[in-house]
Amino acid sequence: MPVLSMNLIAQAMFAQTTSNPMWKGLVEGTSVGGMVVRALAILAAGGLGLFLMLPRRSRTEGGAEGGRFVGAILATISLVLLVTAPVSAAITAGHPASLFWPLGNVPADVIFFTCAGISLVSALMMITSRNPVYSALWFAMVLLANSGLYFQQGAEFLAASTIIIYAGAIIVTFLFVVMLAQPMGAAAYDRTSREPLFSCIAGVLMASALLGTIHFSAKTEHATPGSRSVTSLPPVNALQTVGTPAEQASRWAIGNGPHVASLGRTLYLDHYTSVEAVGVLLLAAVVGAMLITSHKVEKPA
Amino acid sequence: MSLETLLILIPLFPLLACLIVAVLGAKVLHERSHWPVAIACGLSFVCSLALMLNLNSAPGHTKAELLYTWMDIPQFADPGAMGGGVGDAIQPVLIQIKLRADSLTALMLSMVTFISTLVVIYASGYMHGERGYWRFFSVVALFVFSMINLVLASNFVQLFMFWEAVGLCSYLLIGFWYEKPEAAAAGMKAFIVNRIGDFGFALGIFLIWVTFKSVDFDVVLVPSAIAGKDPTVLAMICFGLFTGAVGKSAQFPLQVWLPDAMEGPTPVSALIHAATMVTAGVYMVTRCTLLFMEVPDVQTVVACVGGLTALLAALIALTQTDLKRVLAYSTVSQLGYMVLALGAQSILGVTGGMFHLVTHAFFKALLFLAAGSVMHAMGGIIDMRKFGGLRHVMPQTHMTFLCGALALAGLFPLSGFWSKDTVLSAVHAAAYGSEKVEHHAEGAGHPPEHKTEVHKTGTETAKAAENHEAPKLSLTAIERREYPVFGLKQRTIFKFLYWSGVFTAFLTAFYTSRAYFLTFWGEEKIPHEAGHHAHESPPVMTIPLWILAGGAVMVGMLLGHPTGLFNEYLGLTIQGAAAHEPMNWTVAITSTILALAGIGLGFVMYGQPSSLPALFGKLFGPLTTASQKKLYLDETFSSLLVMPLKALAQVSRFLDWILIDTLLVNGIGSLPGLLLGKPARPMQNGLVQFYALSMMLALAVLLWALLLRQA
Amino acid sequence: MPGSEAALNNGLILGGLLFSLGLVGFLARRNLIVMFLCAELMLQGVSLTLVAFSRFHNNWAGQVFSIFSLAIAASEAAIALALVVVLFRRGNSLDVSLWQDLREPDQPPPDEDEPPAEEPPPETKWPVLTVAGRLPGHGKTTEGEGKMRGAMGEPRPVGVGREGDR
Repeated sequence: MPVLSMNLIAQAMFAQTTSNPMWKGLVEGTSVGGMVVRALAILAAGGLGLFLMLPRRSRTEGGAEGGRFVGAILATISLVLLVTAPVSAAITAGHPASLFWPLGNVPADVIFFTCAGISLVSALMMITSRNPVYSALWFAMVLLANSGLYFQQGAEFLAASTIIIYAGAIIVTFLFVVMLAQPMGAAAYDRTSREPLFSCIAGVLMASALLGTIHFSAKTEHATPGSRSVTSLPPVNALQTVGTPAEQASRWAIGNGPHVASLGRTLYLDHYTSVEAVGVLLLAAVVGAMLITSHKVEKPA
Repeated sequence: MSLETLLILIPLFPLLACLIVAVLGAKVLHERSHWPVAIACGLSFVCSLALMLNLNSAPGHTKAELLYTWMDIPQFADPGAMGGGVGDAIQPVLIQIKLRADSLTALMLSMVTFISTLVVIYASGYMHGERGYWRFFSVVALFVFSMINLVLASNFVQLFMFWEAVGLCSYLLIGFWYEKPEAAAAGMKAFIVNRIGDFGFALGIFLIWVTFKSVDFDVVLVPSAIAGKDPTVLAMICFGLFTGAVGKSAQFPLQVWLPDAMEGPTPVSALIHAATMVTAGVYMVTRCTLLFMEVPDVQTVVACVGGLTALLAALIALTQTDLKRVLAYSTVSQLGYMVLALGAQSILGVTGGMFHLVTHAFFKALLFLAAGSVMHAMGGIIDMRKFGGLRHVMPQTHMTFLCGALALAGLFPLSGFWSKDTVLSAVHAAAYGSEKVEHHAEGAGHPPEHKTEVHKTGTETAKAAENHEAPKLSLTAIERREYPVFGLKQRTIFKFLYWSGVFTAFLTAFYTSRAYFLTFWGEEKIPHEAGHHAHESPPVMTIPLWILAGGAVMVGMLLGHPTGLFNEYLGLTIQGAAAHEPMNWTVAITSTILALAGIGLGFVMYGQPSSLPALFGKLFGPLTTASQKKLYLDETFSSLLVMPLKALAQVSRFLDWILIDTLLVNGIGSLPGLLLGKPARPMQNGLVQFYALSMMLALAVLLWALLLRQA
Repeated sequence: MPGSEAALNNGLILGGLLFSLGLVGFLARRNLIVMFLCAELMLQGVSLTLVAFSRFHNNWAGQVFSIFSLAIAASEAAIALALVVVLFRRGNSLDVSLWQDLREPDQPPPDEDEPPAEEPPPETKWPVLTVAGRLPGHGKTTEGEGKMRGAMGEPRPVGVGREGDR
């Protein structure tokens, strides 16, 4: 329905030009331009909802709450449309027309869309929440949902470490700092936003550009699943010197052997210098953090 | 010690002293700062004497020691290589820093270092307890070093360099009490007035380089180089060089700085007036005798300037009440004598001028130091109206001042008499001498080796016999051109100059005796500034006075006409100088009579209570006022030159400020800021998120552009 | 199914959306900590993309990349939070708008909306306990009076708990 309404709005805007077939196709989504308009409309609806949800001063009592409510509805509609609205029917035959595609397998679909939905909603709530504590907790939700997606994509170790490191350590650190630094109640700066409109426009532009890039590359490459074997890829870097090319190739592919063992092998054989470098980086960060905070700061008078 | 070592040692001692005092003076030496300088000057004097006595071992009585080559730009093989239109104007430049000594140099060196040594010794007493004691001695050492190098220079560029260094040191010393506005202004005045002369000097040097393709004395100042050059160019060169001398030796119209220079400490005045500064101009003209001899017209100008300066300064000195100022104007007057002699168109004049320079150095240093001694005792008061009758209070100062005053007055047989007599004889010869006795070239062609032999072997009589043939060579050395200048024949001009010189001699005797009588005779008056301790100066000050007094009395007799030593020695370098000129009795008797008359008049007017000064003051009313006001020279220059220049400077400053600074430089410079910077500045608002927003928007737009291109 | 083009497509689109959401948050929010959280959100979007590619290409490169970015995020969080603590000590606030020292010296501060009045801390409802026993120092008080007071809902005379919590 909202797509229809958007179409109606567009038709109203270009009423005098509907006789023109190009405009007609544009509005009805039967041409490339039309699809772009639709996709943009979906994203714009999400952006508008986001704009309304962002903390901001309202002129009227309770206006902010009302705006927040409307924004939530708009964002939800946009989310639903992302899955359901046909935007690319005319381009790639044989693929579903919406932005998200069904995976062709019900349990996988259920897992993916559940996790993706939680992730997006949590992210939305995180950036619109007025309380940083809630923001951090919503972010933890995003992480959990993303970990589910990692699991589904065959990155079990990454999923586990994301939960352990991110949700377990980083978020907790954030919460510590929030507790240390946050005044009681919502601070003034948490209840206003800096340039919410321009931020949302930038966000919509960025999202549409990214989605457009993904879309067009899918259109132009026509890749079939699994058609790209490891051996057809060029060597990842010059440091891959351990083992023969065949050994490297087998080490390099996912699924040859136990997961963590294979990952560890590729980490410590193919990327050992990077691992060392990251180790040094972490040490430096720890030392640096201690140095920065242990410095006595005098408050300005 | 070899001559080379001596040549290097003479300037080295004062330089070392200067550096030692400059580095250690403030922290270590304090009140002992005079020791290095006095010792260095003394050693330099000893070395100079040794140089003078040993110089005959060098061929041609000239010794040069090359230190290093400063510039060596060879002649370009292809004149066109430098670009079109330059043509043959590209000349080689070879400037060597070379110490060069001949008899003229040796004489100057001995005189400079001797006077400097005594002045330094005197100053150690005079400047005692002064703030900046070490600074004073450091600069004095630098002063002496510069003067020594000026005299030792082997080319015009080197000469010019130390010419400027001398000017700098004089600036530093005249402005020694820089907190006193008059002293600072006097230092500035000396420096700036000298710049005017230096400008002409520099032009002269450029012309020399263009004409002779070299600036080395040994190349330029030889008869063969000068022969055949365009007389007009030579005249321009000489005129330029003489302009430099006018500035440095305080000739009219640039004499204005010298009287003000006594704002500095008295030893500095003695140094400047006697030894180190003003003599440089006379020395330089003497050094270029050969050039000047070629252009009699310029010489006439030189003589006129000298004569005019001598007369004007003497007239001003008549009525000054400041003892040091009287002496300062007498210095200007005596310098005028020297320059007059240099312009007298004969070798006799040149040697006479140099001789007067040497004797004057003695008695003027003496007079200044004695005046300083008086000032020291009177608590800084130097106005002759405020004190008097000091001959019992300061007997030693009185006696030495008397010696100096008599020498300055030109009384027989003191040194001033002999040198002034030589000067006047030379002018007399130019005015009344016989026509064209022999041509200069013959005198110039006299081989120097021959002279050296004479010097070495000849006994007194032999020398006299040898030289007896020579005098006529130089009596009137050049052909005199008889063409009118301002409708006057040269002879007529020189007649004027001669009689004005004679009159100046009378004035000199008068104002000298006036100063003497006012200071030391009459009723005993001591200004209250002196307090109760008006006393004779300490020995460290009186001993140099006595030595100089001895010099002022004896030098004329020892070196002058009676022995002819001076001329003979100088003749080793200045070819054609005669050891024995016949005594010009007319001149001698005239000047003696006038000197006695001047002294007598001075005694009558000031030696006893008298109403004559008031009577004369009334009689010459406006003239007296004019003399007191220094003939309104400062005022004239101020209104004629300084004011228009200041106005021009103001206009230029205004133009520079409005047109250049505001409109062109700042105006154009501010355009980019106004057109581009100002609209863009609000972007730089310091908000991190604003920067991030612009970055992200730009990134999104770029991505969109890529997408649309692909679609 | 995983590894298919559809999975890649979904992963990329989700990654892009998370990235954009993080971007909006980073640009719009003024709380330093929330801004850093949003930056982490952007990192999560990128990680998702990398993992999707890893699965699609059937190699480890994307996952290894993600693991490294995880480590780097940890380092970044350590340093950034340390800086936040220092900034908070200096300015006594987490407002990023306090730090505008990069501004051109002659520029006026950017137009700042009138900050909304400080919201009062939410009223905490403390449980009201009935008074048991005698009130100290009120020997004459009867049990009934105490009950009456408690029933009337008067706050406790000594608000230790509330003050301490603050």
